[in-house]
Formats: sequence, C-alpha cells, structure tokens
Amino acid sequence: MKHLDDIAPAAYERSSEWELEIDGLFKEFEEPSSGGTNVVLENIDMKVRKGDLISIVGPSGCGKSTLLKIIAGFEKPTRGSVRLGGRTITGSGPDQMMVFQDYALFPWMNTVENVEFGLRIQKLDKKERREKAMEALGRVSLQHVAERPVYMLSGGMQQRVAIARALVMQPRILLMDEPFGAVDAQQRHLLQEELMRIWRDTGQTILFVTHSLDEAIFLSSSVLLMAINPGRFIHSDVITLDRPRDSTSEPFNQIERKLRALLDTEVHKAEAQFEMSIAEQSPKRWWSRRQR
Amino acid sequence: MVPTIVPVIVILAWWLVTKAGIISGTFLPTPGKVGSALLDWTTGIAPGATGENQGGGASVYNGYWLRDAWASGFRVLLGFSVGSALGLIIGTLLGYFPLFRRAVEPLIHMLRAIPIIGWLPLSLVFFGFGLKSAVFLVALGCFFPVVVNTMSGVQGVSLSSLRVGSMMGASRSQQLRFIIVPSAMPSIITGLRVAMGFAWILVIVAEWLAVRSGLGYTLLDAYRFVRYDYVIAAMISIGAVGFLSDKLLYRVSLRTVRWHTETTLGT
Repeated sequence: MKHLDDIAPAAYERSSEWELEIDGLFKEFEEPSSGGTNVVLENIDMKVRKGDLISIVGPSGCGKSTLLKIIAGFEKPTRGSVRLGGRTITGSGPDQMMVFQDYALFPWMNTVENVEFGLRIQKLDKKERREKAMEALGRVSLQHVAERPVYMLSGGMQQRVAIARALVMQPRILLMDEPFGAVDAQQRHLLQEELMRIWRDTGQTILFVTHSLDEAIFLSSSVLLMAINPGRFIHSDVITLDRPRDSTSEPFNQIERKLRALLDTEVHKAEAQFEMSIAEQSPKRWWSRRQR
Repeated sequence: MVPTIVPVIVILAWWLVTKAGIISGTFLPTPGKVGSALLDWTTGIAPGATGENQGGGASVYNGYWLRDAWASGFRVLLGFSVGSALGLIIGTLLGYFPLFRRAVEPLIHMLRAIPIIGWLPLSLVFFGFGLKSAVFLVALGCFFPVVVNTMSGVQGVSLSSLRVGSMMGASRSQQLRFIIVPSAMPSIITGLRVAMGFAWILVIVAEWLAVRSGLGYTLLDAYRFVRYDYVIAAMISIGAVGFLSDKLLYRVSLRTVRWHTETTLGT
C-alpha cells in the first residue's frame, strides 16, 4: 500500500484538490563510521487532500519527523519531489507551518507578540497584526492571557499559543510533530478536542505525526503506518467513525487493535535489528580491541 | 538588612584588631582614620586636625575625589564601550558563521591567554603615555569576555527557534534581530558584567603605569608617601564604584532578560 489516491476521506470531501503531493521521496544520510549510507526514508509516495487531517504513526526513529521536516522545507530530500498546492517546495516558508513538540515559543516575547511574530516578519502594520493575532488567540481560547509572558503558561497553553502562531499565517498545510507528546493525559485530551474544533471551523489541512495510535484514530480522516529501516509506509486506513469519536467504543477499539498488531510487528522487528547492530558493533569497542 | 551584616562584622573585626594592637597602626590604620581620610578626600572637610590624624588635617588629596573618580570612570566608560562593542560584533559573527569561527577562534583563545598587562609595552610604544594607552588596555580587557560569551550565546540559540524564524520568512537580519540576539542576551550580559569587572581592574593597572591621575594613581601615590589610610580609602573607593557600575549595568540589562531570570535560579 503506497498510494493514497484511493483514500477518500468520506465525510470530509470539501475538495478534490491535492494540497500535498509527494512522489518517490528518498532521504539518505552518509554514515562516516561505516562509509555506507543510511536510508531514512525509502520511496515515499503520498497525497493529502485539501482540508484533510492525516496522521502518521510509526516506531521511534522511523523517519516520520524527518518526513515532516522535509515537507516543512527544513531539510532537503535526497531524491523525489514534494509539491504543495502544485508547486515544488524549495525551502521553508509561511505556506508550511510547523508546530513543534517543544513549542519553540520565544520567551523574550509575551503571548500575543509570539502569535503576531510571523505577521511582523511579513510587515503587516501594528494594528492589523494585533487584531489577527488576537483572533487567532481566540481560536485557542487564550485571549485572556495575551499580555502574559509565555513561560508563565502551562505546557498545554504554550502549545495552544504555538498553534495560534501557526494558524495566524493561514498556511496551506499545518505540520504537527508529536505536538501533544509533552503534556499530561488530561491536557492532551483537551488539546485533541480543541484541535478538532479548529479543524472543523477552519478546514485547515493538517499532517499530524504521533506515536499514539489512539490519538491518530481519534483525530484523523486517515492514519498512515510507517515501518523502520528503511522508513516507509506499510499501511493506511481511512477512519470513517462518526465524530466526535469515542475512544472507548467497540468500533474504535477494533480499529486500534488491528493497527496495533501491524505496528507491534514493526516495533519488534526494529528492536531485533537494533540488538543485532549492537552485537555487530561490540567487538570494535576500545576495551576489546586490546585483547586482539 | 541582610547584605549589611557581613560588612559590619568585617569593620568591627578590623577595628578590634587595630585597637588591640594586634597589628600595628602603621601598617593597618583604624577604620576611623580611613573614614576621615575618605571624608577629607571626598568632601574637602578635614576632620580631627588634631593629634591622632596622621597628616594633621587636610591632605594633598583634599576634595579631589570626584576629579579622580571621574578620571578613572571616563577611561572605564570609553574602554568598556569600545571593547564591548567590538566583542559583540565579532562574537556574533563567530557564533553565526562556522567558517569564520574555524578561522578566527583559535587566535582569539590564544590572545586571550596573554595577560592584558603583557600588552603594556606595545601599548606604550604605539599609543604613548596617556589616555589612549589606558583606554586600549581597558578595551582589550573588555573585549575577550564579551566576545567569548556572545559567541557561546549565539551558538546556544535553539534550532527550533531558528526554524520558527525561517518558516515565517525571516531574513538573516531579522533572524539576528528578533531571535539570535534576544536569545543570546543572558550570555551577553554575563560577558558585559565580567568585562565591567575587568575594566576597573585594568584602569587601576593603567593608572600605575600609563597615566598619572585617577583613583588608581591616588592609591599608588598614597603608598609612596606611606599614607595607608588613603591607600585603603582608595581601595574602598574603587570597590564601591566598581560595585555600583555593575549594579547599574545589571539594572539596565534586567529588563531584556527578565524571561531568563524568571525561568532559572536567577536573582
């Protein structure tokens, strides 16, 4: 399963346009120690419809974050093309907004200044950018902390500020890299519901990377599973459950069980490979070198 | 209240040691004598012109404190400004451009290892006796802590902060202005404070060797004339103005790094 053309997000057919198209993408790193190349991403093909919310789930180190960085324009692919709104991505810019796991807010600016930062760079005048920033803060229900320093806010609130900062730029695609990974379970659930509301209200195209299957199924119109070594898509599922979804319902659990089984196989494979690579390396260590 | 406890104990101990004759008054004058020397020097009022006061009233330093302090302060201000400005610019470049860093950093660390006083002969040859030499030494002393701290501050800017800038479409100069410099600010301020400390040390050294005025020169002069009360008065004066200039610098800078002091152990 490689192409997603056949994935029709049933309830979310706002548009038939492809917002994001990735063809034959490879990402390889040279490994100076062994002289070989490490294939992080192998032959990635994917398409995302405008207004879609797609999740990518995979074991740690499978390259899902790297894929997001390539789409964001922070890193270049070794081969293959990434097109956004029909145009090939050449670098980062306001069309692709990333929400980072560590929020990446600027502590030297207060909350609303953080949100309007992008507009300031885009040279909007002061009044207009403040208005837009306040509106974006309203979307994440944080207008009341606009003048507060960001470091005084809780982790969940900080991530909402980061989401507002991204939304205010009206990007073609919102890239979220394990955005709720650092907040506690209750906050996480609230953030997920908030994201759902934002998505419903704005029709924002979102690509969401997570290691939580539960989160992916709760949020997305389709879930993509990735395997490791090399990073590649192994499975995709359209989630047609009615919204708002109930993560304790039987249909939800059925999907989760099925995807979990696929994912676990991958995780075990990855662990086995990792142990093998450790075993290969150990004779080369300095303390054993002396004995030779 | 708390910050006054230790100084009061020290002065009390000093007073006891001199009063009890454990250390001879010739070598260590009493706090009272130093106090009257300070009063004489700063205000021109010569207290206790009788007996115990060594000089018997007004000294040659009478009322010249402000002139002396200004002479030193002016050199500090000039040297600190020049040295720090250069340190800021070069430190930022060093932090930002890896190639420049590879080319220049070893030289900086090598030069940094040379005690500033080692530059004195060259300084005298090139700038002669006088203000220029003093300012050169102070500026040089200020340059190194600022350049090293600015560089490490710039290098410490988080990758995700820079990525936020680049995804918003920030140009290099905008990255610098909105992200790199503010983020490096706590480190830069540490550098500036260390530099200010060095500036006061070096201005005294310069006044012993390259110019003939200021608090440091008065210290040396008083030593030559065996006026230890004025030596200690000069020491206290230098400590006080150094302390005040650091406080002032810290106050001014605090606003820009409140985010840092409030998220760390800080103040």
